[in-house]
Amino acid sequence: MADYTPMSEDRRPSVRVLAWRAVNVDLDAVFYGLEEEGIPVDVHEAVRGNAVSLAKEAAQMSPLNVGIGVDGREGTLALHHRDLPEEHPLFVLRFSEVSSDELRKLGINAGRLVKAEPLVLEASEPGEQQNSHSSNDSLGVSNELFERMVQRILGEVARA
Amino acid sequence: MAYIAGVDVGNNTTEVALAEIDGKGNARFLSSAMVRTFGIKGTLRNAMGIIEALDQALKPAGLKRNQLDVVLLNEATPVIGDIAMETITETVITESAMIGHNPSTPGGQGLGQGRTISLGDLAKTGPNHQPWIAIVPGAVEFKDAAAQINEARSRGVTVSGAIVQKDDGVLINNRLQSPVPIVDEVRHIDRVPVGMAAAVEVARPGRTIEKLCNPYDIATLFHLDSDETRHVVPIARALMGTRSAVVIKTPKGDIEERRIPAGKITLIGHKQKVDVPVDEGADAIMAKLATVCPLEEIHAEAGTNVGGMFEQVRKVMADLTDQPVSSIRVQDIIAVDTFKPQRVLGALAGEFAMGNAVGLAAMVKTQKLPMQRLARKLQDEIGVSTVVGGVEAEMAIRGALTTPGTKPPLATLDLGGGSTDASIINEAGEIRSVHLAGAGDMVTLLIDTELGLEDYELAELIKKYPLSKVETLFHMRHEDGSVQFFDKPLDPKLFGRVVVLTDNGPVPLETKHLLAQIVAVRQQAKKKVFVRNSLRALERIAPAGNIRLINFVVLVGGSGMDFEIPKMISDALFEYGVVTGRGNVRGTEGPRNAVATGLVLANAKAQKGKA
Repeated sequence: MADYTPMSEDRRPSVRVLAWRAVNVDLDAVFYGLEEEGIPVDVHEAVRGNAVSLAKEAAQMSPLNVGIGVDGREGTLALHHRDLPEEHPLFVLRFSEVSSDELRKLGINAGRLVKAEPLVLEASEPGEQQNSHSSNDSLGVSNELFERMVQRILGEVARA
Repeated sequence: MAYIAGVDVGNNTTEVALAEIDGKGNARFLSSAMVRTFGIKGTLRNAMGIIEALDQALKPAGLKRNQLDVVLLNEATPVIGDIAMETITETVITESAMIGHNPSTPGGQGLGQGRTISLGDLAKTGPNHQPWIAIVPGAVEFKDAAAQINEARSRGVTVSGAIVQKDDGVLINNRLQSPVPIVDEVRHIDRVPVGMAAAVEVARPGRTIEKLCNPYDIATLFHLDSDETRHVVPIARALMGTRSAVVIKTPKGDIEERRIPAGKITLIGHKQKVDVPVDEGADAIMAKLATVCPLEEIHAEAGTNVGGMFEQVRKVMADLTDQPVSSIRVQDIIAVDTFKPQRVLGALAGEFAMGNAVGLAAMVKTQKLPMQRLARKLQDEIGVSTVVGGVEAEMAIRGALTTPGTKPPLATLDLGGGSTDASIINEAGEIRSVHLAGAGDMVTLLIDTELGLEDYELAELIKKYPLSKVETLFHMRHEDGSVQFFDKPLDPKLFGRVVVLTDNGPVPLETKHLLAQIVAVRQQAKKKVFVRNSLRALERIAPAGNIRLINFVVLVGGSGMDFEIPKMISDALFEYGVVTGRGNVRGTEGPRNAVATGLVLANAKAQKGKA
């Protein structure tokens, strides 16, 4: 770490957003979520990339280690943390599938990730948002969900 | 030479000690086993667990069931206990009068006072030197809400605070020309009365509210006389420790702390009979109990929780021993004062107030558990001679004495689930024992109640395992302050939460309690029950009632394995100059297997006598 260098514009404590071709998507709800949590955000344009890799890159650049990536062409956005492997983002959302409440929740969770407060998870989220890493984790949500689905399918097969 | 197995059927676990006895009556222990007890202790269902435990013990020794010469069962002490909770006070709001809660992000800070007004009406109001508190329903966007408040202010209307339904407090406040305190996440905003005097307070970061939790400040703000001030005490108490609060004064609005008639119990001693109302609290009950000692029987008023509990224990014991319910006597009772978070009736944001409650544990005792019947059943099942080999308390002492570094006079403490048992052996080999009400189950009940979990299993986990706080996706800080890092990211469900470190991984707690608060509740519960009962039990069995005359106290049974109970009891007994520690039966078994080991040793000794 560089000693005593004045804090440049880039090192302000903030959650970083890297957005590509994002003119047509509305990120306001995400920003409101962060604002309610009291965490600053700064937005940068990216040259290219998908939501997950942009989120990872943003997290690496963010002094708070939390980044959001937006892929306007695909219509996806992702929340990432510097310490997570790139292929394991925390959340991936598709704009066409979520309400502005869900987007706001992503912002809230980005803020809570910074503050080390419990994440808001309870509302029903499409399975795809859940990150994939929990599936190889004994405590994973998706494991449970998967098991329940298998049970239900088996039950229905048996009844048929 | 003979192979024998000592079997201890406990409330929770069934333990086996397997040994080879040579011709001279010396025992050589071969193996031990422990399984969960099947069914209630003393019933025929226990046989299944015993067989499983025997097989587990026989396997490493390379023996078969039919090579066993005899199986020895413990003469279990026929005591069972049960627990109940009586709530003594509840807080009732007869008309909407207060909001006090901890939204994670309220807006602004400080104190604002005025009359409540809906956002719509605010637009129609002219300046009249009257401050207002704006009510913002969930349907209004935060931008519109802020714009309307700003607009009203530009016309000279004073807005000194706001009550908001959604989690928008910071967003609205950031868009106001000058900030006001805003309490948000008020679920039942429609119940907030309009046109009433109100005060809104939001604490500074890291603080709790200062004014609305003080009855005299409330009196100052609302011009209350002394009688009215007395009535706001429950409000002030309920708001203590919150980060934000609203108090509204309505003409008929009233909040009261109501005492709930909790019934009375009748303590019947050798010479006298005393009635104690449960709502007088634990200290009153325990003080009266001391005056009627020795206790012969307790009656509780029918129709109360305590009455129900007494019925229940009597019935279970009567069924177990084939005796009429009327002949089952309550032998001991312990009362503990506790708090119970209760949903405030009529509150606006789902607030809780701490109600007072008394936790009670009772214990009943009869002549004999039908262990003989179990022995016959076991003999039929496995074809090995099975006998009831000795009284549990005596066997426990014999087993405990195999702990290196001990000698009589020695006392054992067995803090179980339902009862606290203590025994003592003096130099002459005489054994006395006592069984008291209140143990692990009661600790679990206290944890469950005080944290408002309404989840007995979770409370059980909190009792058994240490806590940790997940601080990042890759590390957690344990309750002792140490930090543990992980190679793989932790589940996002755990992030930022207090977790219980169970054997099956961390379990998140969905409460807003701080880690330190949960630790305090857990430790207090253990102290209130285990430490108090240990002293109570040792006083009863110690020579001349003097604990100082006991040289060694050995903790046996499952609670000896607990991560903090041995230290607590050791601390409490240190001042009596007693050597206290977790037993180490046979130098290998830890606090487990004392009774099973004692059974084998007693049998071996008898052989020696014959030889």
